[in-house]
Parts: sequence; structure tokens; C-alpha cells
Amino acid sequence: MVGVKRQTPFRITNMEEGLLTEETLVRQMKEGDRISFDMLYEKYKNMALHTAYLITGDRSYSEDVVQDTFVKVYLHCKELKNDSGFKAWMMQILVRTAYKCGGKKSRELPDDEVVQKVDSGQSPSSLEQVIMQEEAQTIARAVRGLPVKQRTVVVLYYYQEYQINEIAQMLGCLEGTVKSRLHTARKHLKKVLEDDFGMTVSGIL
Amino acid sequence: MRQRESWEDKIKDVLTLECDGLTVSQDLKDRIDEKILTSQEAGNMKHLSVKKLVIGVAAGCLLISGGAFAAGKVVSVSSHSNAMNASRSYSEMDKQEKKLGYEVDSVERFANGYQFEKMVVGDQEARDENGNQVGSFKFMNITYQRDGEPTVSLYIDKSWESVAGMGADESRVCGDTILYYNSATYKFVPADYELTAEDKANQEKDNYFISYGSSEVEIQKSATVAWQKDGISYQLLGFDLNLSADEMFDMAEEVMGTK
Repeated sequence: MVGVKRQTPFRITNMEEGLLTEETLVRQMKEGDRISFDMLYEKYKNMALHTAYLITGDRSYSEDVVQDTFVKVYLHCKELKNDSGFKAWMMQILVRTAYKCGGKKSRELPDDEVVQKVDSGQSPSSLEQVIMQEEAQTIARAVRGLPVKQRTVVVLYYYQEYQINEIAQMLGCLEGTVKSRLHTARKHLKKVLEDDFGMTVSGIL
Repeated sequence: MRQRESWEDKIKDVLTLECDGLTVSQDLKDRIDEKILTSQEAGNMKHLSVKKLVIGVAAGCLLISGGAFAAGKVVSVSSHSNAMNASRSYSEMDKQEKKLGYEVDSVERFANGYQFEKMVVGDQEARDENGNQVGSFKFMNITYQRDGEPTVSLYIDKSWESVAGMGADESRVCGDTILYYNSATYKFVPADYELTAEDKANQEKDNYFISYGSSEVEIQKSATVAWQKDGISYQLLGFDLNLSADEMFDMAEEVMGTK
């Protein structure tokens, strides 16, 4: 363990009692409180990892993205003007970091794993199960095959459920650009699904 | 508002499934803490300014990317030197070269009046736009000053194999060595800076970079002459210099000992 000095315990007590808001944690982190930083890390670490993974497609690299993101968050937190906007600010750093490398990385997760995961779920019947597996495989493959710019928008829109304007802010581009990428991605995904299943997607899915 | 089609609703489920069971490794937080600590320690001694960091990064990418003066293409970089180890006497060059591990070409004074101010040996680690680690290596940075004008840095390391084929605004052949000149515009902005429409348009240009992390918005023009000799890479560079490409080529030749 390196360099973490635990500070006054009252803050932990406060957190346990649910008295600490995210805004308070951010404010305390800006004052140099490492416990607040640790709490914010705990809150967002997996969400950050998942987003980085879906954009970069590489597990080990997505950890590097998360690492760089939280290092930047701590070192530059004083530059965050609006404490209540922490999540958007952090996501902006994360997405920009992941976005830059996402186009070159190949997916680690083979289709079989997707199948296995579907398989491990609660499946109503074997026929439905097979269809579900095929759907999951096709969608996963199609998203994976998107150019990184489109894939990033798809991940943020469908997975993280951000609004168009929020995505535009994160990526530093115009809302129209986000809409355009989303439209192109949607069109491509739909075509792939239709080609794979040989009928309209709305009919099969 | 556009209505979602039924297949679109499946996307979240599938992406969620892809991340199922994916959790951060146990040691990730330790690595984060370590990196923060290292950065803070480096900062306590002498944290390179964003501008200087860009100099180092840009210097590396100049050659790695095979053409562009492309600090903007670097995904991450950590670079630090210890001000306590900096030397303000050119006579201590031998000592600094020992730290670096090899001898380098340099001058104490240029014909145009720029003269030695200080030098330091530091460590740098960088990743390129493909996520590949360029490596951890030592560099030397020599700073030259002239009557209150912007300083010129001579950045030296061994991180690149070849400069052959790189693009440049101008070049000059000097014996067996080719000197490459590049210029670019850097806009240094705070981490939470919102890009304007003009910024977005500028970003499309090959020689315009936005660098996050400064305390205020600042636009500066960089100029660099790069060359490689005996496996060592040299970059003579600075921001808002009152020097033409030819003048910088002349300075480079002085460093090489051919002028």
C-alpha cells in the first residue's frame, strides 16, 4: 500500500450514517482529503472500468484508463469549478482517455464468453435460450465492429444512458456530431442484425 | 423525440452482459495511489510545467509518429526531473552525462547570443496513441536563455530508432544527418475547459493541439528542429521564439559541431 494517509475517522462515521453527499466528498477531496477521494473511487471504479472496457475493448488497457483517470481526477480536482458536476467531469476525463486508444484495440472477449454468460442466466426454454444467445452474440459483435467514434457514442448513449448534449460535452464535439454518429451506428447495427437474421430486426428481436 | 425500436433496448443488456463479472483488480487502487504519490513528490521537487511536459512529449512523438509534431496523439505521459539535481554550471556536463549514461553533443553558447542557463536529467514514460508504451527512459534537457526572450530547450534522449521518413515543414541536410523543422500551435487549457466551435475546427488541423492541464488558457506557437546522431535524438525547441527556421537550423549545426 502506498502513500495513503488515513485521516480523521469522523468522516467515515458520517458516511456510514449517510450524511455525506457526493458534493461534500468532492469538496473535501479538493481540500486534500484522501478518504473522500477513496470513497469517490469506490463509488465509480467499476462503472469507469466497464465504460473504458466497452470503448477500448481491452481489459488490461481499460484498467490503465481507469488508473490514469483517477490520478488526473485527484491531481486536477481543484480545477473542477462545480462540485455537483463531478461525475460528468470525471466521465469526460475517462472517455477522452479511453476514446483516444479505443480504435486500435481488439476485443478480448470472445463470442463464446458472451454465449456462456447468456447460458448462465435464467433461461425459459432451450429454443428461446438459443435465440437469446444468437441475439446477444450478434449485437455484441456488431457493436464491437463499430468504428471507435460510433462505438463510444453507443456505449455512452445506450449503456450509460447519457443524453446527447451530455455526450457532446464529454467528447468535446457538437450535438449534431453525436446525433450523426449515433444515427450511423444505429443504421449499421440494424443492417448487420437484419443481414444475420435475414429478416427485419424488429420482427426477430 | 425519436422512439426507440425494440432491438435497441437489447443493446444495454448485451453491453451489461459483456461487463458481467468485470471488476477492478485488487491492486489498481494501490497503483493509483502510487502514481499520485510519485506525481506529488515530483511536483514537490520540480513538477514540469504543462508546457515543458509538452516539449518532452512532443519531442518524443515527433519522431515516433513519423511526421507530425504530435503531442496531442499521446495518451498518457509521466515525466519528472528533480530540480535538486539540476545544474546551473555548464562545467558539470560530465556529471550530468554520467547520470544520462552517455555523452551528448551540446554547446555552452550559441552564436546568436543564446547561452546556457541550466540542465537536468530526468525520467520519462510515454504511451503513443495506440496505447503502446514507448518506454521508460532518461532524458537530458538543457535550457538556453537570451535577454529575457523565450528560452530554447535542447532535449536529448535515446528513445527513438530512426527519424527517416518523418514529415517536416522544412529540412536541411548536414553531412550524413538530416535536420527536420516543424512548427505547431498549442492551446494550453484547464482540465475542465469547454471546447469552442473554433477549437473543434482547429483540432482538425495537423499542427494544432489542445493541451489540457494548465491553470489558464494560453496559445503559443512551437518551433522544433530535430535530428538523430549516433543513435541519440536531439530536439532544439521552444515556444513563441523569435527565430526563423534557418536560424534554428544554424543552432542545430552548432550543437552538432559542424558550424
